[in-house]
Amino acid sequence: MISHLGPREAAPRTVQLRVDGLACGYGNGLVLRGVSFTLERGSFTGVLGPNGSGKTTLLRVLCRVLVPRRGYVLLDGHDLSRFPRRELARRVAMVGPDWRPQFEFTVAEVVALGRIPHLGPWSGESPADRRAVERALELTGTGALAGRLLGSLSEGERQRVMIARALAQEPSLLLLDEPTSHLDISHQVQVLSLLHGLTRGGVGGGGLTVLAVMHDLNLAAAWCDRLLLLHEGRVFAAGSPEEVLTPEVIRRVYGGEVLVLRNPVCGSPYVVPALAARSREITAASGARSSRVG
Amino acid sequence: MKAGGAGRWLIPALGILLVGCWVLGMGLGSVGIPPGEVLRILAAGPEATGPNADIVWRLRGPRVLMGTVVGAALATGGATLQGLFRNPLADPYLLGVSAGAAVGAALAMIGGAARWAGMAAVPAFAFAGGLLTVWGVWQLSRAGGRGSTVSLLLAGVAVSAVLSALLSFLLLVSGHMLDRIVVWLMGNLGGRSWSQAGWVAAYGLVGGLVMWRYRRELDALALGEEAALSLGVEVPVVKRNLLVAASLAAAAAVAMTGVIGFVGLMVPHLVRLVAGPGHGRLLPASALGGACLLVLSDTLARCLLPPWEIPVGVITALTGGPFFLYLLWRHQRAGWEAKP
Repeated sequence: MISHLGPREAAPRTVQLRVDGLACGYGNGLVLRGVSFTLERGSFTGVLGPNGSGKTTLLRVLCRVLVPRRGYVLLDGHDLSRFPRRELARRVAMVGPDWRPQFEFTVAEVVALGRIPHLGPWSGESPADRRAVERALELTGTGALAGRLLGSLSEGERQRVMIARALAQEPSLLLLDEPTSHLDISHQVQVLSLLHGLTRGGVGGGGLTVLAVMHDLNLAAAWCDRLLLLHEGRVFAAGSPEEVLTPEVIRRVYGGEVLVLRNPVCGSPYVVPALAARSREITAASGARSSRVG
Repeated sequence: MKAGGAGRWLIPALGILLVGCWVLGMGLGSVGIPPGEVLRILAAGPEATGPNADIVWRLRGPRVLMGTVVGAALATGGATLQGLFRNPLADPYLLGVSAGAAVGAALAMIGGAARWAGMAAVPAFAFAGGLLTVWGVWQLSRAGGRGSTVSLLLAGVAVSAVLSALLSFLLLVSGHMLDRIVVWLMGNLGGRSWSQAGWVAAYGLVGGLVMWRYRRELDALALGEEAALSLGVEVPVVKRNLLVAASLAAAAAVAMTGVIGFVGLMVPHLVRLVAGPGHGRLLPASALGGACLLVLSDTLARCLLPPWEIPVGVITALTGGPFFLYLLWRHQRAGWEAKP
């Protein structure tokens, strides 16, 4: 088990988020039971784990929707719980799993919601606010949709608009809860390459830090710099995709036999269920066919 | 598209329409006064003399102002609570303001407070009843646990039901006061003074300022409470302040005029159709729209069946009910929520 995210490249990067001994739950039960990890500025980290392992709970603590029972979170070296909420919203933005506006907002209006933490109660929008909205629309390729109603968009477009809304906050850390779960494969790739580009490119100059809860191990392996595998409320493994996605780790966390191959395109680990029964069927079928031919 | 073009002109257009409604409201009635003369009398100031000046300055003027402020208070309250609860069916009476005010008013009329202190005691009792009820509903919803939106709505419905039963009982034992209570319950703008209208206006203005101050927070809440939190909105504080603001304004309105339904429900929906759901435009446009609607309805109430005056609450319910069914039907076809 690797307990901390080590630097992948030789040059050390600065730590943006440090989570230590985090415990949190609902009612009497604990969902997170001592989670510790660090995030480097400008990294793209995927949070993996079976259902109920605490992935969503972790995100909710990090944007302070939930208050942890024990442990602490340091953001840019400061205790997360000390931030005024508005100040926090200027540093951390969240894209929830199913956030849909009641009432029919246009895309431009939804993206402009991201400026709320920057606006005083009695002030109007400044040119800087309008620039931030335009930039968010441009980065996510949603500029052409600006006048459309959110309800009229496809799922993939809607997800990009919600990411644009978060980017309009001009955060340094972006949290996403299953950003690709309802999308078809081409939209999944679109969203993930967008997120990947944001960590490399220059929102705010220094590159955005992204932490995304994901279900698809192979997409996560292909796009993320680091993976964080949660199991029963603890970090079971953390590190590069190669370090985390091993047959041994996956058997112990997900309880199934897998083969880990190489993704032929990018060389990242590629997890395939080792379906013993199914493979026998196929072998038998092809055997039968070849014998007939023979 | 919605936010652009038509929306930008809505507020000035409603402003002009409201001035038109005022002139109409002061001119029409059992004695017709042409618009030109209404304006001349108004320009001459309250010292103007003559029968028409009396009608404008002492009878219809306060009544038009009352319609304006009550309509504005109810419509902005409805817009705010619909946003706060993410529920298109919310209105300012949602948390029991009207039920509490009705019981308060009935108690004042039956219990002799009205006989002892004059009819002026009725608004005071209604106001207290309305606010006490909202406070009780708020406390009840928190007693069970976290004070979630659903428990607040349920507590509001339950308490309103209990108070309605109590009101029925009061009506049964009210004897000779029955007529007056029933007329009060139906909502009426007549016979009010400038100072009474000013009193509602003061509460309405304070409430309206609080709502306007939280217009962006209301936009954020349209995405849900978690989303609003992540956007830096202190949801519990905002929720409490908005509930207080909307309830105060609604209680002041109900106390002075009785229960006038559908304004708070109908106007925000109409405005959203034209101007979109952003609260920066929705709140002021709803205020103007609610004012226009109520002044017009009251004018109709006075002119339809002379010499009788129909309670304005009956007019708003008669026009609002079918209109609301139409909206419901439209939304069912389009999907009530913005879903792809």
